[in-house]
Amino acid sequence: MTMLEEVRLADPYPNKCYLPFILYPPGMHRISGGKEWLESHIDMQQQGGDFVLYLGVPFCRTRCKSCPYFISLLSEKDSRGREEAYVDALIADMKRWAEYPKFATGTVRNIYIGGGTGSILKVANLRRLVDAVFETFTVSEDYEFTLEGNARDFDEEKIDYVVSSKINRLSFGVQSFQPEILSVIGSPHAATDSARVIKAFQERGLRNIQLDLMFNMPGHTLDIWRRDLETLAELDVPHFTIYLYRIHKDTIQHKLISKGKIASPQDPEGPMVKAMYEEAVEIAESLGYSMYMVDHFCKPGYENMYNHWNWRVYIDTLAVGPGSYSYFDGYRLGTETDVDKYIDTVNDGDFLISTITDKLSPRVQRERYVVFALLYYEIEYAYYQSKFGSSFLEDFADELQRLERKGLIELTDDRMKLTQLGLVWHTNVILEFFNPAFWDDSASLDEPNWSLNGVMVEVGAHSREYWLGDKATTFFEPPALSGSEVVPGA
Amino acid sequence: MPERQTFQADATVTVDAELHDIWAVWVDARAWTTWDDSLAAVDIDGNFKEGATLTLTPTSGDPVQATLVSVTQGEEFTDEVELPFGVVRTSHRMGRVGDLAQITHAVTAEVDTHHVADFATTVWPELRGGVAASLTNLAEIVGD
Repeated sequence: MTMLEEVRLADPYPNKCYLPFILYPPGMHRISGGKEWLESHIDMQQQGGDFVLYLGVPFCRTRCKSCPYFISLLSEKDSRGREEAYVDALIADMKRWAEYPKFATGTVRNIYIGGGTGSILKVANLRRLVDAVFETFTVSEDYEFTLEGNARDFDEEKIDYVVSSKINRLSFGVQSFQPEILSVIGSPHAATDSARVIKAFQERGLRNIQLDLMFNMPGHTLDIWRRDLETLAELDVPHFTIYLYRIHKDTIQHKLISKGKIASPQDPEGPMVKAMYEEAVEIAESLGYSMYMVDHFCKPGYENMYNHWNWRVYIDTLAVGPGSYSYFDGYRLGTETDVDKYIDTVNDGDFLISTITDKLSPRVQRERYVVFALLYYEIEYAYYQSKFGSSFLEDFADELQRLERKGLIELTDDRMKLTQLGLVWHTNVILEFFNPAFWDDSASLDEPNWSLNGVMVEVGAHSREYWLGDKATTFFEPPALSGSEVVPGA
Repeated sequence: MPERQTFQADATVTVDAELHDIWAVWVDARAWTTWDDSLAAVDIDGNFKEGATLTLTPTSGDPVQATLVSVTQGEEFTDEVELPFGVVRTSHRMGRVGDLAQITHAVTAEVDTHHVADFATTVWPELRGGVAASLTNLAEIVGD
């Protein structure tokens, strides 16, 4: 009997939580005031430290049918010049943030252009943006600069530019190499685009490439998944991720499935989906990849350093552009997804700060660190002590006692590590560190949420008991397999 | 070029739907069969962009090649099929009307004059009827 089969007999939690991405704390509320709010709540005159810079490009050629990151369509014809106007605003916004000593005197450790679709920008606009980053901020010498996007966007001119630019890492949303699967999920690229473009970059010497694959898409079979993994092996990229496909509410995919036009994905707890995951892990290990963080695989020396700085070293994040979330000085700050409003606000000399968290208490800041660091499976006691000046074992004694009793963690002399069972249930383990004040928070469902914050808020709208059960109970009867997964907690 | 006669039909529907959702359904060419009952299968060579070739297999008849002659993301696309009797262009356009989405499907056939009589009685009724039918199906899929 395998470990996974044992889990079905006695689960450590009543409901398994799946989260493609963690944002914490989940609940945010609307504010207005932008610059005025910022300057009255945060000391922007303080000396800066290390931070990561996220630049959002809020455009796509089409909306992938279940994508939570979608913001706005941009036509290749772009007759109204929206791309130009947006990049003007994005650069102006970035420069305005850099007028504050907090960011003017800080050091950018890592830069990430995402979206939307970062790669959608024309070469001239991409060049303007990349140049502006280095003109505006002090960037560390060992910086990593990732351009995320879609292979469809890369012609020879753009490939040549990127190779010659300060962008030194690429991340492609591949999802699958099979045309029939790409159609079903609505990806904008053709099946052959990804391999063609990845090979073109490799031939020109840019080899630090990540690709993202998805499994359990509608119509996805183990055989198709194996073919995707074979193509992955042939491409020999140093980093890849695998994501369980999710049907998010309020998307066209949800409608298509509920109206019987597309088959539902398989139950994520069913044997096929588990076999998909296990095969991916086995193949990755046989090819020399290690799963260094949840669902992230890399060859030695090719970890995603944006995640590393953000979540493991735990430095500030300045995120610029619609749909992005910053974190610094104990606040999460969100910029809403309305592109025209963003451009108007920037052109009026203000910041579009649309939602915030209340200032995080020292306790919540510790929880936030633990929640993110656990994506790397472990918490080092000494590093935690150096960040917060207190003991991890003492701060979270109750949580650790429960997790240890369920066999989900191991406490060694210098760190807490997830066990094999803890890996299987890692999202629920993370939820153990949620602050009690964030459960049963249905009010935040009515606040503006975008990207995956809405998913996080849905998780927090449930009671703690829904996900984690009674604190005194060690194991629970597993629920019967359902037909399909929709969104967490739906 | 022989002299041609033009046949046109269009239909418009207003529906509570997001434009990006309508676009997502349109660009999934392989799934046109879910809203166009006249099609048994569709394949596309490459990306959904101008110049792409589509292979349309009707529910009755042999596959035909179509070309995407116009694509404006989030707004419209038109495909064109060269047939023995002339050219058939099928256009799809959308826009916002207040909080709603307005979708228009239109078909234009330019028919060689010596085929007009046959075309008008054997082909056109089905083409014309398919415009409204496909639009109704699409609206049912994307509407709330």
